[in-house]
Amino acid sequence: MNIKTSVKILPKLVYGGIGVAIVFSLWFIFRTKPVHIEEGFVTRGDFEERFLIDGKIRSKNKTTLVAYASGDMDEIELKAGDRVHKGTYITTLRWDYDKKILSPLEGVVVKVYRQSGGPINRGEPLIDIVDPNDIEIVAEPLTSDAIRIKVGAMVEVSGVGEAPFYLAQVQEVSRAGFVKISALGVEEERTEVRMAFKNAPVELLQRVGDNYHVELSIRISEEKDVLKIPLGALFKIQDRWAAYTLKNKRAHLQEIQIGKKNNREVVLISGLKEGDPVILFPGDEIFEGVRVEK
Amino acid sequence: MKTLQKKLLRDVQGLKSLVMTLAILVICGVSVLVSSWSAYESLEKARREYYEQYNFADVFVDFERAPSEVLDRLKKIPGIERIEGRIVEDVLLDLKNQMEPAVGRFISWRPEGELNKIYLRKGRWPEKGMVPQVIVHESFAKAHGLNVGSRVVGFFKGEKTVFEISGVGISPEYVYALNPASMLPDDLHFGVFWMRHEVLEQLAQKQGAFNNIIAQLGVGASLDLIKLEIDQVMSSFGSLGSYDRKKQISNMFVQDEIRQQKSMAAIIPSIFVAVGAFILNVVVSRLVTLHRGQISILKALGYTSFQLAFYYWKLITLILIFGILPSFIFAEGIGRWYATLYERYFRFPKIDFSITSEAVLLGVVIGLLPGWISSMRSLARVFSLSPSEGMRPPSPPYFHKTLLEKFGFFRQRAVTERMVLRDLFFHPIRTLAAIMGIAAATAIMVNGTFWMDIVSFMIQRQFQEMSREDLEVRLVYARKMDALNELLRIPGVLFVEGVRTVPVRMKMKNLVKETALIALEDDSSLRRILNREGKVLRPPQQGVLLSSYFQKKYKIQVGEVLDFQVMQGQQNRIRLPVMGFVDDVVGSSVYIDKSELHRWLQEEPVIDAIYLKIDPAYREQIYVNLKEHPLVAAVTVKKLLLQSFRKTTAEMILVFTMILVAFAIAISGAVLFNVSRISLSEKSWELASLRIIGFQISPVFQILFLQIGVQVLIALIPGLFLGYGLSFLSTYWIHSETFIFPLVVEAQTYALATFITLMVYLVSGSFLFRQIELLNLTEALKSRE
Repeated sequence: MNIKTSVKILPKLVYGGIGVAIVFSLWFIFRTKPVHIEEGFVTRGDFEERFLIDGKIRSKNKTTLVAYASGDMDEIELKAGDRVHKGTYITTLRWDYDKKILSPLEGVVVKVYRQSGGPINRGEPLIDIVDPNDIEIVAEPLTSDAIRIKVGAMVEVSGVGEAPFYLAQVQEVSRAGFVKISALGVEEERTEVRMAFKNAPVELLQRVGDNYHVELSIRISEEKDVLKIPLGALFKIQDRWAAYTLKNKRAHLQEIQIGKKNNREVVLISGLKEGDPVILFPGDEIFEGVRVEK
Repeated sequence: MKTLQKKLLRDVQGLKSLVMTLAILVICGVSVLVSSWSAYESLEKARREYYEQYNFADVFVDFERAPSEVLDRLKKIPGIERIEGRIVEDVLLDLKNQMEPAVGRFISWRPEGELNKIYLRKGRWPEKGMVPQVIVHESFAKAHGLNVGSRVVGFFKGEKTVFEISGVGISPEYVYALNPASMLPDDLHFGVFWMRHEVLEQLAQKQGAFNNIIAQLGVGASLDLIKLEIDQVMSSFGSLGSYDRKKQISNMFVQDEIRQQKSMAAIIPSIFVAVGAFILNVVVSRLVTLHRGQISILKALGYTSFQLAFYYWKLITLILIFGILPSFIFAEGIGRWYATLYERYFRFPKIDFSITSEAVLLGVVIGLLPGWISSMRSLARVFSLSPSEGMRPPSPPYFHKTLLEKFGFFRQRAVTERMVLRDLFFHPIRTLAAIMGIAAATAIMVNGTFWMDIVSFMIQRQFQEMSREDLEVRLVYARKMDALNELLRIPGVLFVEGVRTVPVRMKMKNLVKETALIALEDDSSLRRILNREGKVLRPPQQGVLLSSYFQKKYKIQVGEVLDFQVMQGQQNRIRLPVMGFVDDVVGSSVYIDKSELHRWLQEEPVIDAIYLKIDPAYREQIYVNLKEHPLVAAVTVKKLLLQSFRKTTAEMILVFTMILVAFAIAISGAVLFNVSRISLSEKSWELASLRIIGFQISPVFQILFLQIGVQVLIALIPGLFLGYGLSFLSTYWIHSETFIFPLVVEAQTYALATFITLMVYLVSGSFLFRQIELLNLTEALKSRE
């Protein structure tokens, strides 16, 4: 009998299989899984610091017609929103004389103080007329923000018209502040910033009117051809800024120096090079040397 | 008959190890069955009694504000037995032991109130006085160590108010006190308080008005009809629609748990019982073969076939009862564990966990019946054995060449290999049973550990990939985008993003579902919408993206048109097609383009929640700042939410996993042990011969060990597949009203199951080795017949 000499395949097959299965399963159990990350890059380009705020369009030229004598007034038939031309009849005021009151300018009625006729006192307001073609944009930023806005700064106006945005320019930052309750219900000091459309198409200007809502993005500062890093990559170690970069598919902590920030990116002064990858929004599972995957 | 009884006792003694292993299987299966069924019944009973005795309401309505007179109109609706108007106000709390704010839900309480009554654990009812007194919910009191006399600070409309705790209580409305904003249990950051109505009226600035109605219906009243009538009255007060117990959050979770206990009582025990039945089948068939001599002799002595079959039936029953009896003790233990778990999460006045008679009956039937059925074939053989059979040696099993041999596979093989393969092929049922048993054990191991995979997937998806903010700030009302700048100005805030959420009623065919439209900012980067593959999606202009929950649960397809009605303000309607699905794990939301939503609601760009990324060094100042903002309704700290989620679920899952893995080891151990025992007893003659012709112990051992190894190795493949299938079944059965678990099984889980199965195999090898050493050569070679 060739019991001892014959080649035994079955044991090799079975024990080999079991051995391989044990090794594989141990490898799967003890391997560290790479952490899933989102990658961003250090880029070079122009940096703009912008300030976002809601604003409204306002007519610069608002005229309030008043009763210039005490007497009887005829009913006013115009309504808010009606167009008036220079010389359009508004009402008649009767005292010793009958005096027709005519519109002194072309524009739109924005407010009728009193519609019905009857006795009226000298100085009582009758009607507000604005010139919708003579408009400006107004915003009311906090005084601490307003101080960063320079006269002449370019503004992107959106939320109005077909184009993604229209250009405007800051004309004046008021130095007369006032107190207002904020969106979240806190008392705040604000001031008025006035802007004018720049090269806006005529058909836009013909369609917007008094108290129209706009969203403004005011340029605070600009730096040409600088290194930029996504804001989401930054975090602080005590009072120094840092970001995780990638080295051989592993996270590497890198301290950096930064300059100005906007709501998306930050000017990078030193620490990383152009094109360096960085980990966006690193969570607590990211640390020095951990394996990562995209 | 007496002789047979003696034989019974002796046989059981002789089969000690087999009885033990079978008992382990039966114990595992029956104890889980009995404890889960008892837990199901106890919980259901506790729920029913609590709801009845404390008048849990049937219908609930939330709305902006309505004058008290409306209640008189509602009272006239036929079918409403009791109806009460309340004020429910969520405010930020400032706690001494906790930096970040918590949300306190203040509910108005009247001494004469009859619905959703409070069970006072300790202390007394709130009294009038200088400092407003409140009853605090037990969950919050325990989490913060609050006691009668403790003081808590809350911010009503930004105004700091101090409360004194007069008592600690619970209510059927908050059996599971869950933060409705996060839908996760978080006792540290969400608490319920009850305050005298007239005091809360003042603080919430709702004099003569209320914003919540609860009603109890009379017997036989139509729930749907009454809800409709209530809605007609309440729709003009900014009501989001009335809802019944089915949509009440606490009740939803309690009912889910009860249902899950019921399915738990079905899945796991059935596997154990099935494997147990298989093993019993093999054991009894072997037993009858071994005893053929005895059976014939007994028959020759005049015992009838029926008596002998009855004898073996008794033996089987005895073995099973050895397993069933201790099961009740284990069931009591597991049940106690359930009870302590429930006490931690569910606040009932008292949960009496006891093993119910129904569960006992079920356990006995499920323990016995499959065993009886599986051994029927062997019992039938007792009838066919003739008395003269005992005079002859057993006819050797019919030999034929197995398929492999016919193809010449064996020509080169060694004797040992031939023995192994032939044995496997000659007993196909036994081989199959062993493979099935080991496969089942492996599957249970996969099933036990895969919950960890699901939890880590959910954490990864929900807390790390989709939402990357540190804080979520909910505003009391929708605000213009200016609110973003305002928060960005707080020192230490790095990044802000807004979101608009609008409650809607979504309709498609007969499906009506209350959900929320979520509109993120266009270039949102803190919150991301991801599909299954992790790709970022953007809601299209003319359509919506749905949570994959709707796809799984309601089979909604891409392209189907949904009807939305806003449950706020103008109640605008819109029809939009489904353009895709979002793989948010716990969500049941609808994602829409932000400007599209504003256009449709005819509103300016506004937001009602803000996500913040902050510098941790400034955390404390930011919390203080937010607490004092009058229009901040709630602040959620993601990290802390994650922590409490991890703590609660991980704890529960870990125990669950350990139990299942222990069970799985018991199964595979029992199967391997039995298979090797039976092979050894069958082969003792051949094995002893091998040793006598010069083989050492080790090659003899190798034959058996190899034979088992082949079966283990083969079993791994169906085992892992079965594990996936079982995991699918578990997620499918244990899905809840609120969300469907994603099915995620990581390679690691399969690896662990494989590893443990192989380890059990190696350890059982050492037992086998001892047994072979003990093999008595002369005894084995004696032909017993």
